Amino acid sequence: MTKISGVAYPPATSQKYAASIVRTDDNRVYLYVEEQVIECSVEELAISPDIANVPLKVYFLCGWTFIPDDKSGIFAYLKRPGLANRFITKLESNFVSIVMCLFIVGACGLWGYRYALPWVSVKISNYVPDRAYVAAGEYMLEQLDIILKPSKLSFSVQNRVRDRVSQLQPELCDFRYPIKIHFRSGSSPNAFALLGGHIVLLDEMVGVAKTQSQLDSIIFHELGHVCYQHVENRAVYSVITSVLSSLVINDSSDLIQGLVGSGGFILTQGLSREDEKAADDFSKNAMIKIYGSIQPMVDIYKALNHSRETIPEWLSSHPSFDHRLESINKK
Amino acid sequence: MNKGLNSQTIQFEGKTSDYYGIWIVNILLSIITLGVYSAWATVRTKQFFLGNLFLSGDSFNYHAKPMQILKGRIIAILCIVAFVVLSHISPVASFLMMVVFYLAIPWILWSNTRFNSAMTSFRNTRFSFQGTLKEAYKVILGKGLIALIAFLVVMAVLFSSGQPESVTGVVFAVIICGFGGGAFALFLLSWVVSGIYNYFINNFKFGDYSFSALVELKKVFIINVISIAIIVCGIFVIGIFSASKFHYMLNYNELSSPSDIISIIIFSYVTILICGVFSAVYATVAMRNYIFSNLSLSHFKLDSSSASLTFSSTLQTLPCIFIMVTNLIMFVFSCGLAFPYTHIRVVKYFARNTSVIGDVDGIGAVSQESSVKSAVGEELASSLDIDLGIL
Repeated sequence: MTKISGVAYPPATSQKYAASIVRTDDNRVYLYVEEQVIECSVEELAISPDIANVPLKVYFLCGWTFIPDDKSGIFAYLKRPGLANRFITKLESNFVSIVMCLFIVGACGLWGYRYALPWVSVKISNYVPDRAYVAAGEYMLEQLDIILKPSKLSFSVQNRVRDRVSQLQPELCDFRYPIKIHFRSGSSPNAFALLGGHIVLLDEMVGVAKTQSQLDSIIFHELGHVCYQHVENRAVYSVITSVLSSLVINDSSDLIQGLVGSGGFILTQGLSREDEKAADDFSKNAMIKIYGSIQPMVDIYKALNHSRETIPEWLSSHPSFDHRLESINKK
Repeated sequence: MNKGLNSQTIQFEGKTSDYYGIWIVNILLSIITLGVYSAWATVRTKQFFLGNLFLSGDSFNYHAKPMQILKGRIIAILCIVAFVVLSHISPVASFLMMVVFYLAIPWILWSNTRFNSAMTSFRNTRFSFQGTLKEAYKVILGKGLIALIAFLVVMAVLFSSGQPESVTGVVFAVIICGFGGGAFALFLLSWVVSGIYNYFINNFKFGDYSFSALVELKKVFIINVISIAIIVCGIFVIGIFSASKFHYMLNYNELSSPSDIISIIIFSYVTILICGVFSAVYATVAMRNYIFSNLSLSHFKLDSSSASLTFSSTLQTLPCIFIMVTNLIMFVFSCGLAFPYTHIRVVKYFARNTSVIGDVDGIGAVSQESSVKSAVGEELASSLDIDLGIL
């Protein structure tokens, strides 16, 4: 009868003994340790997972642990299938499967970051209560008020813009929440949509607009962000990615986490540029619908193009104005 | 090290090629199962690393069940998601979450240490952590709070002890307050840190054997002073460089060009980065070496029949920095694919610089009963990157 030799430890103690095990035809396993014989059925044994060159441990129900000198063939000897474990061990040790895994992981990573996560973010974003977004938008506005100054525009000008937006919005989209336009003063012409339907217009942007229709094209662009819920989806997306990246790379150094974060930032900027393009298209359609022309939009984009500092497009959240103008002018 | 005693170095026998397969399959199966397999992946990885760590011919073992890890992970993820979402939505909720987080730190550390030690064994005998939660709160939050109050009181006294009348007096007062306050803060920090180390180390058990070490405040203070001195030296070098640049500009009546300012900024940034890394690595290495030189394992009934062990750590700052920097370069240039190699390289370096002195085979430890089951603390600690960093 074949014997497998190794070492054994008595229940819960660290004293080591030379030992051997024998399996009989009636599925009984005998552990021989010096003068002692420990017996149990094969079903009562537990075997540690087979991982690379890690020594295999056979646990007896009564607490004895046996470690064979040579672990190859121990599963077959003890007639223990352990199929799942053996399949994973094969995957881990086969060169071809490792290379395939590498390709699949790379493809999954890119696809997940580019398509699956944005899709999941949209789905989750729809389940978040409206009041949470509105409250978050109000908080964002409070934070912006630390760096922005109160608007110098008269209340009559502000209210005229607000009235026009509230008149036009039912024609443009079925908005999730009522639109609230806020006026502030900053350092350069800008406008942005916040969570919960809040839109901030800077005095400098109003100043750049030579006509009402030019200003409307900018407001329509921001309404596009609100209509498509870009900010909401992006907020959920950033929560998911920050949780996932902390889980995936939590074994790495801070420096590595920073580098991965920077890579993620650049990829996210790519998604943000797509949102900008969608908002431009929304604005273009709205301009055609309301004014029958996109010329005011082209004019104000050209005017804004002169007042912006240039940073590489791949690093920016917005496409370059040249690309935007080119895209708007396409039929 | 006493040459008369038997000294055995810890061996790590894991191969990069083996870990590569485990690592990539773990990632793939975790993606396919939408993260569920990550619990099995964690257990498998820990079994690989502990199973390849050999002392006196025997390897360590990791016993956690993937389901334990999975449950703990789900709870930890829910906590983190709630934390991130609330901190995006409401400043009040964010503040409250921060308070809850700080209040939970002792529990997280205690729970994490208890779980990890209970799941690790050597020669069929489990490690354990016997410290009480009350004591954890006392040494971490209690001492931390006392240190903070003491610092604020001393600074308030220093600032209110009269207004200097001359410019020299103001400069002198700033230097005294800066150095005095800094030294006092460092002393308080060392007091808290030495207390935390003493609590955790002296409550570790291997079966019925106990680990013990006396982590002295004086030694921890000296390590912290040297660590801070490295950064102060860096700031001093930046000061000299910037001053010489400005001096040149003033003497030759040249207006500072953007390239001069940029060169000062880049030089300052690089110097601070180098000094910061050097300081952090020095502190880690010195603390580990000091703790291991004081560490011993002996039976609670200390008699001649039971063997006892002492430990030694021989890490060095420069090789550690070399490994860290070259690992980072490899990681970046391989787009992360060198991670298994870099990970094993670090573990191998730590293992070959750790020795156990004494008769390992003479240790006849008996496992103690353990009721540790929940991995929530372990998962929270790893997700939030809270670690004692002793071993």
